[in-house]
Amino acid sequence: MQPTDSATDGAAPAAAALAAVLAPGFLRKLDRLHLTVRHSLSTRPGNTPMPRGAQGSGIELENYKSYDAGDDLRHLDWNAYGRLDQLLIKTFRAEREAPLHVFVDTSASMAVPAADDKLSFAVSLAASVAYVSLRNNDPVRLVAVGEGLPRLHLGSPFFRHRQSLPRVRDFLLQVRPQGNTVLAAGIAAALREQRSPGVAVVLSDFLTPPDVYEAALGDLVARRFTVAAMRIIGPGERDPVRLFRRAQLIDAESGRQRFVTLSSENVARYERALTEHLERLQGFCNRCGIVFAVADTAAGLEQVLFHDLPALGLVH
Amino acid sequence: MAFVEPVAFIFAGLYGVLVLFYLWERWRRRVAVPSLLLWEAVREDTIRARRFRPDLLFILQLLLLACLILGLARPYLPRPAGAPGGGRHIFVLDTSASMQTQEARSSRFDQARDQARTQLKRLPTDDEVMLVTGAPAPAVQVGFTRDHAAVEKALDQAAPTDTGGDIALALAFVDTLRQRSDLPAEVEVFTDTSRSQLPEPLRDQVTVFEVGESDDNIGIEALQIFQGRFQDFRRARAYVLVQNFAHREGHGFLTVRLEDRVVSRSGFTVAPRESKGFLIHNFPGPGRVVAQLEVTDALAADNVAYGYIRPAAPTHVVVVSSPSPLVDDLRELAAATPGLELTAVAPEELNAAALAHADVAIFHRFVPNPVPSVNALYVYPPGENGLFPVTGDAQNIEVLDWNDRHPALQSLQPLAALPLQRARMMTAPPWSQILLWSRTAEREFPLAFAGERDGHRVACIAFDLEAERLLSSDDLNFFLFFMNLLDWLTPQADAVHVTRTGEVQSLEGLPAGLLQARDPRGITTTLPAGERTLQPLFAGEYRIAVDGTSRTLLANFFDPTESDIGRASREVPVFHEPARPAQGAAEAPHNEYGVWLYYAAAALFLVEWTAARRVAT
Repeated sequence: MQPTDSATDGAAPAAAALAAVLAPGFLRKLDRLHLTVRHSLSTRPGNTPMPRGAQGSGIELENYKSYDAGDDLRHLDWNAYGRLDQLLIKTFRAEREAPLHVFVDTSASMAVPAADDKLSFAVSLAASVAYVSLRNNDPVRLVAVGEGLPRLHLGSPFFRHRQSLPRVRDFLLQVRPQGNTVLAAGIAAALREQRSPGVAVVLSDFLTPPDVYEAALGDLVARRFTVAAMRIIGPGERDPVRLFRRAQLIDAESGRQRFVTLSSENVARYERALTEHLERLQGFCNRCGIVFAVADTAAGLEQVLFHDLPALGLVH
Repeated sequence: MAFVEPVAFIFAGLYGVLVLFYLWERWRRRVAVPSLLLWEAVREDTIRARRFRPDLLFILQLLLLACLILGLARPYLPRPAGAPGGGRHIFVLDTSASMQTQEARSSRFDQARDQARTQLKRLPTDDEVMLVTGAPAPAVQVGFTRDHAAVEKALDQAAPTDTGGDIALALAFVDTLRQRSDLPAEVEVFTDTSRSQLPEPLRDQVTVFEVGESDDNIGIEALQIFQGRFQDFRRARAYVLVQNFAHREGHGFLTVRLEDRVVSRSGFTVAPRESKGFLIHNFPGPGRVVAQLEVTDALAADNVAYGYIRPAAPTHVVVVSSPSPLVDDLRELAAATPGLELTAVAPEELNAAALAHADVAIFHRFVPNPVPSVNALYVYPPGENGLFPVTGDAQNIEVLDWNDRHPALQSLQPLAALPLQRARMMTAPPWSQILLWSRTAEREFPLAFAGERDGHRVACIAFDLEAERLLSSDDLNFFLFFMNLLDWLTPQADAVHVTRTGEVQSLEGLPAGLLQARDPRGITTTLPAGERTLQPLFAGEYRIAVDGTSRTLLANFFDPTESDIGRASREVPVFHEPARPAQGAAEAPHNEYGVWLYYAAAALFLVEWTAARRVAT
């Protein structure tokens, strides 16, 4: 017996959602947004490693300093040495970048209930954020996290130009909901491959035990990421009475079953559990300096991008 | 609470279907959720509840089904005795003679009664029922009652009579009852009269259950005994009229008996819808005449008829007159008439002994004083007398008018323009009826009048029969008038009366006391004290007795309308709803409330539908 609201392939809705996001009109709206990054910046690649560390590279002169052993001789001001007979090293304002890591939870729970279409929403949100970042010439890396993926994740290379947007779309179109939620293990595996800090946006329903998502988010914070956790939620999850009154519930990931009748008492219990779940997640994020947002699929993508995220300071 | 249609509860089995449907729907309903993480806090159904746990929709559907089933069962609240009832029904059962017609294995009456019983059983137990029989006249057998057993008992006891029945009259009677009823009443008529033959204003307000189709009937429609007042049995004749009411030729035998002796027996064939007469004479003596048809028809009530031949009884006439031609004429008349005995007495010789055995006394030109207690005919009384005031004399007058309704003048040719030489002008006493009139230039005056005075019949002829010599004339009408007058003055106290069924007979003349009547079925009933009438309901011999005195009543069923039993076709009953009280009148409480359950079911359906939509959206 297959569940009535079984996890679906997810490709068609994601394709449609992506087509809507990558439409020129919507992209023009996204042009107004900029990621707000307070720290977790990294230098651009190309700096030569030096014994005293790489000097910031750039084209804007910032200062002069006396030469110290180990300084990069390419920055020695030979004209000043001729005039003053002093070895002066030019320092430049370093050109830094904010790499964006978008972690998309692709567990089976993201496709249930089908009416909520959480995975498509997460993919759309990931594409939108990626575009905002690419438009600012910040690199973007997309990471799908799920049990069914090899090494529990599937990471893209860094995309650095707006011209990479088709590749972003192609990568996101590969995303399929499957398997259990392996948020902590998947993110950890992805970070092992790419250590440069930056902005990490985690898109998930976080329907895992608290220790799992706390481990995942804590790992990112520990690696000096600016972390934003976005809890994807749909109306069917907020108000299950819409879906059924009495049914045999089947866990989309584990397959466990539970007979439930949505009496008023049980509805209250469920709502209380959901509230506690969200409050606990938010409490953890607040404690760890993680930007937390609840993205409701019913509210729509624009509500999240142009109202919720700016309100939280993630974009401006 | 009780139920009119408890069989409707078999639909309660639908509850099982509903539960099974819910279990199946429950088993079918499996919902995938992202995670059971949040559902851990929700109390899981118990094992028992996993199988079945009602929700609001299910409860609404249960209630809806319950309302429908209860509505079909037609619940009602029995009212206490004396409380205003629910429905009222008036059963009109036709008990006329035609209902005795045999149709196949049962009579029309039995069929009608079975239909009435069936209708009675269909009624709610607290509906009031009245039973009215229609023949010979509408009669309430059972008044409005909720005791249906009593009605059924009355139905069992009801029997068709040998009388005609006016079903239209019964309907009018019932309509009056219905209009007087304070609750709406339905009228159900069980009859062999088709609905289309009922009076139009009433037939649309009743439900007619028609029975009967056969027209196979041959009946005696008349048995007439011709026996003059002064004739004995040898001159008596009987005339029997046999009518074939069927639409095919009829055959049979007619047997006429005098008491137990067969006088005549003859076979006959009667064309469809035709009649045939039989004349029987040479009766061997006086007595009861019975005409019996031997035919194989459907109605037996008109196959027998009764008549009576009186024994010869002499009439004593005393003529008080001076010797005159009138006395001579009367002597000749008496000599020529069997049973007429005449005695002539001069006025000066008149005494009580002379009139002691007189059946009638004829006083010619004489009025005794005091007036004797005897039936008397006064002819041309003198101008001075103490009985009839004479205002003058008239000469050369004519009979101008007459009372043809009086027995003395019935069946006679007109006497108008009969010239009379002289007559007394008198004023008719108030106890008398004027038989003949004449008039002078001044005024109108009676020529003959008759009436009852002090318990005796008295007649007076104001003109002089002697002068007219009318008894010896060739004017047969006037002779017959005189003989009829003698006949009327000497009423016969026959011990046997012949009548028709349904006609009320006076039993005056019998001694005082409780009358006991034995009907043709052999059932003897005692008439209520003071009851001096009898209405024979069955054809045959009734014997009424009191204190050793008896009188025989021979009742005949002569009713061609009733004997014509053919019915064109049986019509389907048209059920009629009773008229409801006018708006504003007190609404009659109705204890059956099934219709409210239907309303509740409709309301529940709307609620359930709305709730289901909310759940679906």
